[in-house]
Amino acid sequence: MTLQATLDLLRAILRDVPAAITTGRDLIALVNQAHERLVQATGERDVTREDIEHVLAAVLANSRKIQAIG
Amino acid sequence: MKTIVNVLVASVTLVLATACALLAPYQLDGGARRAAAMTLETYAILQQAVLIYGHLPPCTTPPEVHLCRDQEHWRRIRAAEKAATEAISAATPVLNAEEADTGQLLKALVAIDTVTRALSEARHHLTETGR
Repeated sequence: MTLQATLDLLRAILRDVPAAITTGRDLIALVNQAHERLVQATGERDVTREDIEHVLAAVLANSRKIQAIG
Repeated sequence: MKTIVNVLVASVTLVLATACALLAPYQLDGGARRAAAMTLETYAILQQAVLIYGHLPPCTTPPEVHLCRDQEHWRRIRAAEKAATEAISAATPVLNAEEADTGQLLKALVAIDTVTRALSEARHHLTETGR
């Protein structure tokens, strides 16, 4: 499966999510935002050091939240 | 909520598999750097799924809520997540072309895969028990 085909499938899956739930609108916005960032990450422009640092900062922040849950 | 977790995990697994395949040569040209960035972005999404599961109320006996967090699964997920984030941090100098890859990328990918599997097991437990 090509990268584009994978992203198309991911897009199709995520498109169906809002119809499948009755709550969590903010969560869907988050998922959509993440999806857009994925598309950007796989676009044609070069990935810079700042891009890597930016997503790493997000990963570290998420990890802190996860580890804080008992 | 179960649908959200299922879709997130399934989606992330799919993209992660592609990203891992793209990173297989471990040569950080432009395409590989994009794949690396995508892998990290995907992991950040996976972390959101972990957070969703983590914020479920802990399971009790007898069950008090329809959906709950199994503590043993959660312990495994947390441990795997911590290891993956540490492995990603260790691989960052390689992604930034500051160091040569001596296995950091593979270690990070394996660690991310471990998180994916741990979360998938928790998801199957949700499905199997109907909790």
